[in-house]
Amino acid sequence: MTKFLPLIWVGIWRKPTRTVLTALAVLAGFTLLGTLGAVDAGFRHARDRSPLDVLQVDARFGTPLPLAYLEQIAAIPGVTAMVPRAFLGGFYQQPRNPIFFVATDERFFSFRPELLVSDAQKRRLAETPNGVLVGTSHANKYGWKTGDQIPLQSPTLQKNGDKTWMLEIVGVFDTTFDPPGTARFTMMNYSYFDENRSGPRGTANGFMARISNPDDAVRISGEIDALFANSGAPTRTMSERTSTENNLQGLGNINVLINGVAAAVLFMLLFLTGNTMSQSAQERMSEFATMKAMGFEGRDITAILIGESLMQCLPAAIIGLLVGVKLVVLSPQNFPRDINPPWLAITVGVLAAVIVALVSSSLPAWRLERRPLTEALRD
Amino acid sequence: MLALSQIAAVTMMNLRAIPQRAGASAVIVIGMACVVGVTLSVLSLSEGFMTAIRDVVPKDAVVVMSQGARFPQARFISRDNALTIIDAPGISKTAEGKPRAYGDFYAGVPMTKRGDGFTTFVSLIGQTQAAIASNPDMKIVEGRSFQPGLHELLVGRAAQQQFVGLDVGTTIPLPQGDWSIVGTYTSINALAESALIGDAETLMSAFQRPVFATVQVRVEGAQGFDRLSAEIAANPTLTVNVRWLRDIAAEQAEQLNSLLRFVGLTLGIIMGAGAVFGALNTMYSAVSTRQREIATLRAIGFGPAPVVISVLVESLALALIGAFVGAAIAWLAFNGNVHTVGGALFELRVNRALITLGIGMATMVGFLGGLLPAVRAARAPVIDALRTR
Amino acid sequence: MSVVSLRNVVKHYTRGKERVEVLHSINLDIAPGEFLALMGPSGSGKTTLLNLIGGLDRPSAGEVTVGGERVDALSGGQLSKWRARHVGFIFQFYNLMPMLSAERNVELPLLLTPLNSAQRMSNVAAALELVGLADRAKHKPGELSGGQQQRVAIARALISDPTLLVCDEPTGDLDRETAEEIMGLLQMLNKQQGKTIIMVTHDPKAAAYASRQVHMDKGRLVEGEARTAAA
Ligand SMILES: Nc1ncnc2c1ncn2[C@@H]1O[C@H](COP(=O)(O)OP(=O)(O)OP(=O)(O)O)[C@@H](O)[C@H]1O
Ligand SMILES: [Mg+2]
Repeated sequence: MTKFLPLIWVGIWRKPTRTVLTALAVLAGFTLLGTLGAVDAGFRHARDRSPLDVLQVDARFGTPLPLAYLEQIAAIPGVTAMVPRAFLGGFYQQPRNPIFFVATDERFFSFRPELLVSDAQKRRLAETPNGVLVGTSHANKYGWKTGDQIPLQSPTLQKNGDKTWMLEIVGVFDTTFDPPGTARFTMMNYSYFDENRSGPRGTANGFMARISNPDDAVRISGEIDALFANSGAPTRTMSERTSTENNLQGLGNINVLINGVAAAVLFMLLFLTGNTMSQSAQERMSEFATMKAMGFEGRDITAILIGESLMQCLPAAIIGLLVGVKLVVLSPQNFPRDINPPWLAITVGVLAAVIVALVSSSLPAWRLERRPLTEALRD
Repeated sequence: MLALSQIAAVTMMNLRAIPQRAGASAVIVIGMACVVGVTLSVLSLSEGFMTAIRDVVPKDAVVVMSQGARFPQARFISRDNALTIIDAPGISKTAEGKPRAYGDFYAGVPMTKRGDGFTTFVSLIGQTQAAIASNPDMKIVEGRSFQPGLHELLVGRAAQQQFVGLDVGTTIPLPQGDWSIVGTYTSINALAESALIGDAETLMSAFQRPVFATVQVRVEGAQGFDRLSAEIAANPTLTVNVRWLRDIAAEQAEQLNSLLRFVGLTLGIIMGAGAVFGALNTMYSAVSTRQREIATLRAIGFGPAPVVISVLVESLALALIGAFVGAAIAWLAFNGNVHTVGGALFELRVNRALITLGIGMATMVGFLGGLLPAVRAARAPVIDALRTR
Repeated sequence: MSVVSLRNVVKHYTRGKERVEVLHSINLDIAPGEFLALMGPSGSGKTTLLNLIGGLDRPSAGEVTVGGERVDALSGGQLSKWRARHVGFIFQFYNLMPMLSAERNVELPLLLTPLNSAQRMSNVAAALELVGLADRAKHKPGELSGGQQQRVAIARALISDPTLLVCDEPTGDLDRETAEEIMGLLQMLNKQQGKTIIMVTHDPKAAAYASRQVHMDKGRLVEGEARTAAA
C-alpha cells in the first residue's frame, strides 16, 4: 500500500487551490466539532467529578440555617464530617466585577481536595481574621498579591451598617480542575463573616456533610430533611452529584444541541469533500482507465482515492479538533471545563473524519468502477 | 445601458449553466443551508425568550426594590417604606381610587420536573387579593383564588404542566405545614405563568420574613414614572431603586441571552468560514470550466466587469437559495416549539430579524466565495484561455 | 503455435433497443515475434478488436486466446492481473500521468509487482535508456515533446516485460519525422527483443515497418489483403 503513497500525494496536489480550500473547510468544520466535543467533555467532567459521598444541605426556602444543625446532622449514623458554608457576594470596584466569597473554615479543605492550597496558606488564613484565599483567575484579573487589602462592596451589610468589607489576601491558589491561572474559587473565614455581618448571627446558607457509604446518600438526605421538616428552617439535601446534574439540566438539553450541530456540520462536510473527490476523479477518468489497462484493479484505484481523501481530510480534521478544544479553553464564557484533553471527543472526531473521507471517495470510486474501461480510456 | 445589458447577458449565461454543474452548485446551497439552519435554530431560543419578555411585560409595570439587590432573595422593603412608596405620586389608580401599588413576597421553592425528575426552583410569589384583582393579564381558569390567612396557593398553568404534584387539590410542604393548591391561573405573560402565588402577609409570616421583597407598581405613563422616581429619590428614608419591570426582565434574560448569542454566533462564524471555503471551491471550478466561454466573450469585446459581476451574482444566488432553505428548515423545525429554561416556558421564534440575519450571512458567504474566482476569471489572459482544451 | 488466436470473435454493442454488431466472426492468429499492423477505415472496428486482444474488453461470442490462456473466460480481477503480466499498451495520446515525472510514469506498472523500490528504479532506468530518454527521467510529461512522451509511454509498456505490445495509432498525433523515430523504436523492440507487437494505424508508411499487415472493413478482416511486410 505504501507504494501508492507517492501517487496519492501527487493526486491531491493536482489542483492545489481545490485541495487547500477543501482542507480549510474541513478544518473549520472540525474546529467546531472539537469545540462541541470539549464542551460536552466539560459537562461530563463537571458531573463525574462531583462526589457521590458528599451531601449538600441547603435551605429549602432560602431561610438561613442555624449552626446548631451541624451537630444534629453529625449525629446521624453514617455522617463522618461536616462544614458550614455561608456566602458573601458583592463586587470589586465596579458592579461588573462581581465576586462571591464562600465563608467557611479549615474543615472545608477536606471536602475540596482539588484546591491546591498550601499548609502555609491555610495557616495564614487561620491567623488572619479578615484573610481571604483567591483563585488565580481573580488574582490575575485584578492584579492582586498576597498581603493586598481589597474592598468588597456588598449588599450584605456589616453590623456597623458599612457595606464595604475590607479583606486581606493571604494566598492565591490554583485547582486541579482548572488550567493553571484560571481558578475562580474564593474563600474567607466563616467566623469573621459571621461576627461582622448585620444579618442573623450564628447561621449558614448551608452545610456540606461527608458520608461513609455513597449508597446511603438518598436515605441520609431524607433523614436530614425529615429532621428539620417542621422547623422554621427546613432543609433540602442531595448529593453533590445530584446537585450538579440538576444544575446542568437547568441549562437545557445540551446533548440535543451538540448532536444536532455535529450532524449538520458533518452533512455539510460530506457534501463538500464528496464533491471535491468527484470532480477530481472525474477529471482523471482517463488516467485511472490507463492505470487499469496496465493491470491496476478497481480496488487499487479505490484505495488511491480513499488515500487522497484521507490525506486531505485527516490532517485538517486533527488540527481543527485541537484548535476547537483550545478555543473552549480560551473562551470568555465560563463553560465547565475538563483540564484533561477530551480524548473521547478527539477519537470520535478522528473516526468521523475517516468516515467522511471513506464516504466522499466511495461515490467517485463506484462511478469509476462502473464506467466501461474502453469508454473511460477515450475521455 | 450597454454595460448593464452586457452584465445581464453574461449573468444569464452563467445562471443557465448551473444545472450542468448541479453537484458543485449544491455544495454552496447545502453548506449555506446548514450554516443558516444551525445558527437560526440556536438563536430562535434567544429570540423566543426575548419576545416573551418584550411583548408581554405590561408597559406600565414598575418595580421598587432595595438598592444593589442582585438576587431575588436579597430584596427587602420594610412595611413602613412600602407604605411610603404606595402613597407616592405618579402611581395609577384603580376604579375605586386606590393606588395600584402592592408590596409582595418572594421565595424560591424546589420542584421536581415531570419527565426527567430533575429539580428546579419555582418562584413562590406573595401578593394581595387587591393586586390580583387589579391585574388584567391574569385569569383563574380552575378552582378559586386563595384566601388570606389560610395556607392556600394558586398555581400558574405553565408551572402545573412542567412540575409534579401541582394539581388543584394537592398540597405541598412549605414552612409551617402543608399548603393546598386551590386554583390554576393563566397569564398572557408566559414567564409569569411559571410560578406559585399565595397571600403576601400569610407567606411572610410563614417564612418569618416580616418585610416585603419589592413593591410592584403601575405608573401613569413615563411622566408618572419620573414623578415617582423623583419623590423616592428625594426621600432620605428610602434606599430603593425604581425601575421598569421590562428593564429588569430584559436584564435577567440577558444572561441566558448572551450565552445563546455567543454560542449561535460562534457556530455561525466557524461554519460560515467552512461555507466560504466550499463556495470558493465551487466558484473556482465553475470559472475554470467556463474559461473558454469567458475568453471568447472577452475576445468579442466584453469588458471584465460583466464577467466579475456575473460570477458574483451566481455565487450570491446560490448562497441565498441555501439561506432560504436553512431558514425554512429552522422555521419548520423550531418556530413555535415550546421550550423551558429555568422553569420559564416560552415559544421558540424564527422571526424576520433572524431571517434577515440569515440573508446577511448568505450575502457575506456568497460575496467572499465569489470575489476571488471572479477576479481570476476576469484577469485570465484571453489567448491562454482560448487555447485550453 | 500462435501467441494470439481469435476464433469466431463477435462483438456487439447495445444502445437502447438497438443492437450494433461491430465485429463479425473474426478469426486471426499472430505468431510469437510477429509485428502486425492492423489497418482500415475509421469505424471499422480496429480499436474494438485491439481492446479484445489486450483484455480491456470481452467478446460477445467466440474465443480469445493469448499465450495459451482463454482471455475471454477470465473474471474482472483475473483480467487485471493478466494484463499486468502479459500486455503493454501504447496509446495515440500517450496517456501519461501529467503529475508524475517520466520515471514515475514508467515505474507505475511495477507497483503491481513485488519488486522493491531500488529494483524498480533500476528497471526504470534501463527502460528509459532503451528508449533513449535517460536524461529526461525527472521531467513531467508537460515538459516533453509528443515524441518524447510517446517514448516514455513505450518504456512504460515495456517495463514489466509483457508478452504482447498493443499499440493504438501510436504515431497518430506525431509529425512524420517523429513518427519514423517511434516506428524505428518499435521495430527495434520487435527485431532485437523479440517483442510481439500489434499496432493499429492509418498510416501506410508506419504500417510498412510491420512484418505483416491485416486490413479491416465494417467489422471483418478483409480476406487476401494480408501479406508479408516489404520492409
Ligand atoms: N461503447 C460503444 N457503444 C456503441 N458503439 C460503439 C462503442 N464503441 C465503439 N462503437 C462502435 O463500434 C464501431 C467500431 O469502433 P472502433 O473504435 O473500433 O473503430 P476504429 O476502427 O478504431 O476507428 P478509428 O480509426 O476512428 O479509431 C464504431 O462504429 C463505433 O461507433
Ligand atoms: Mg480506433
